[in-house]
Amino acid sequence: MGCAMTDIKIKIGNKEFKNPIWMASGTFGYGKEFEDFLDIEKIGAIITKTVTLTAREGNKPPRIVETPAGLLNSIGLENKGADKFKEEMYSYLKKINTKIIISVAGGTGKEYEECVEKLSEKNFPDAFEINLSCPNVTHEGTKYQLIAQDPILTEKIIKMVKKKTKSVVIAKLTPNVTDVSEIARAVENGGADAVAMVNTYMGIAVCAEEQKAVLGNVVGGLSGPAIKPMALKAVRDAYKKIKIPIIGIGGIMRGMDVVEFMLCGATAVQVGTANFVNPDGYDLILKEFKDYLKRKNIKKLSSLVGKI
Amino acid sequence: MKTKKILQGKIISNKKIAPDHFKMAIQNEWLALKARPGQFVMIKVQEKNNDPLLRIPLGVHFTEEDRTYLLYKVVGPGTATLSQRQKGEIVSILGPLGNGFDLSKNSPDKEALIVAGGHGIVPLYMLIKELRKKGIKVAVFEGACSKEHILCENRLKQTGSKVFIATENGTQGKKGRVTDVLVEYLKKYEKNGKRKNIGEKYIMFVCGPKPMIKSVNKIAEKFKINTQISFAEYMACGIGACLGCAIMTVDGYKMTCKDGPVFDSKEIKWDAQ
Repeated sequence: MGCAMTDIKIKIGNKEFKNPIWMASGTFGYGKEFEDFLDIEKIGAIITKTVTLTAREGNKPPRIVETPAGLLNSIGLENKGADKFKEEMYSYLKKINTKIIISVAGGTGKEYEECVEKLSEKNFPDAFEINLSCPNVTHEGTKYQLIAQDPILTEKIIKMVKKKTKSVVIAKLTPNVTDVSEIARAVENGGADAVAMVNTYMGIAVCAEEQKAVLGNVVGGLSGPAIKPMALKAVRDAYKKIKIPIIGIGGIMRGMDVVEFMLCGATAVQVGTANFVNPDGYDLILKEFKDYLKRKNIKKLSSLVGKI
Repeated sequence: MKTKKILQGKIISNKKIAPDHFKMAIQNEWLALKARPGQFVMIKVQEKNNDPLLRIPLGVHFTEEDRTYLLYKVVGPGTATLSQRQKGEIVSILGPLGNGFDLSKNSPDKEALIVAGGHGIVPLYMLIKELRKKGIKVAVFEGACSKEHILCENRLKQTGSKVFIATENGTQGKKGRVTDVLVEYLKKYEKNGKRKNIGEKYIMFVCGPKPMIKSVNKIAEKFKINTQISFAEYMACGIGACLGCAIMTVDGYKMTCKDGPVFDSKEIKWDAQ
């Protein structure tokens, strides 16, 4: 190419990622589903579909519906449970030459703890993403609907899981709160290495003709370009209050969206809903991002982060 | 390893053929070569912006040389946008996807009963052509709300199949439900005192709205007919990643996109539908 390329490697905790554009949990299966469409080793990190201690059947259909520029889902963390996941997926995941982040969730703090303990091995996974914010499951031990709406429980769970693993710990937060920066601070106090935000915005789709909710679960979580402006604000709000890195999520479709999240304070990002639209779309997002860096003569990614 | 590509198809035609129904011909050699009866594609309805956002699943209607025909009903913003696309434009297609109808278990002396409600005929037409090519006798039961909504009647007749029509308002064929006509057909046979082996005489293929599918299943159970049903569920990805198109089966939830869209009626957990 002749001219020097910007170094796009980033470091979170003690791990180095080849680039800051990752795949969001629940939108990339366990990676396997997308192998046919793209070279998954180019991806900065793959975050698996959320794993829970025991198997979860998932919610009643319909589970998914399109809304203006968005996708409303109520999958309900369908998965086979930690043991089966380990048995069926570990040898495959370990062979992939990029960072693997396992998303875990639970109904109680104890479940998070046990799940992380069970899945932690000497050098695997590279990180856990603690999903404290799935809108489609219920929780015990809090008056809140979502764990990540409760700063005290959030901090407690992060502390608990940190003790159980040497892997990097990332907390995934919900935007369905009064002040997301308060929860981000709780996560930082709990010792998380980074915070990923945002999970979906809770919403409802209604069919006027049949006078009923479209989703079997009535309420779902909204993702896609529709939520990007709100997600950017959430990232910026948190950036002002915390020192740990932020991984921005919410409606990233193109390379320029990655830049927008970085300008608001994100060190890395996750591509989510876009994977459903273009299962081979990663290459273009990465290319557009690199092209921007070149065009704007950006030498260090950190010079972008939190600029606005 | 990259093995699958997202296909580019050229729109050869996109015409209204009935109220709210459009037929689109897409040119892409690979797709036309690979698509089997009962499979579907995920098609991107536009590239300009993010709304409509998702690809939409459409059943393959039939293929001819390098062309794949899709027949779709305008039901929302996605299909409405697709109906505006012009001849010569390029569309992005993911597919063919799904399992398709299974003809391997069928003995050639069984008559195929095809039950279609509304645009349920879409994936069944290609199957009918294939069955006829194998010399299998076919009886088609097609139902719709009214005469204008009866799709591909002439083309069905040209396949040499028997065609029975039912419309809810009685503007064509028998007034009532398509299942009424189906039961009548089966009972004729029953009258000859051969009810016992009626299931050995037929195989059934079904696609249509959920209430119709449910009543066809009851008929299948009653007469013990092996039945395959093509289901249409909301889908986001089409490749088994989003887990959105779940359908309850006797073995728990399965995905319509990957495990289906065609299921044996005995696989489905009917009281959960």
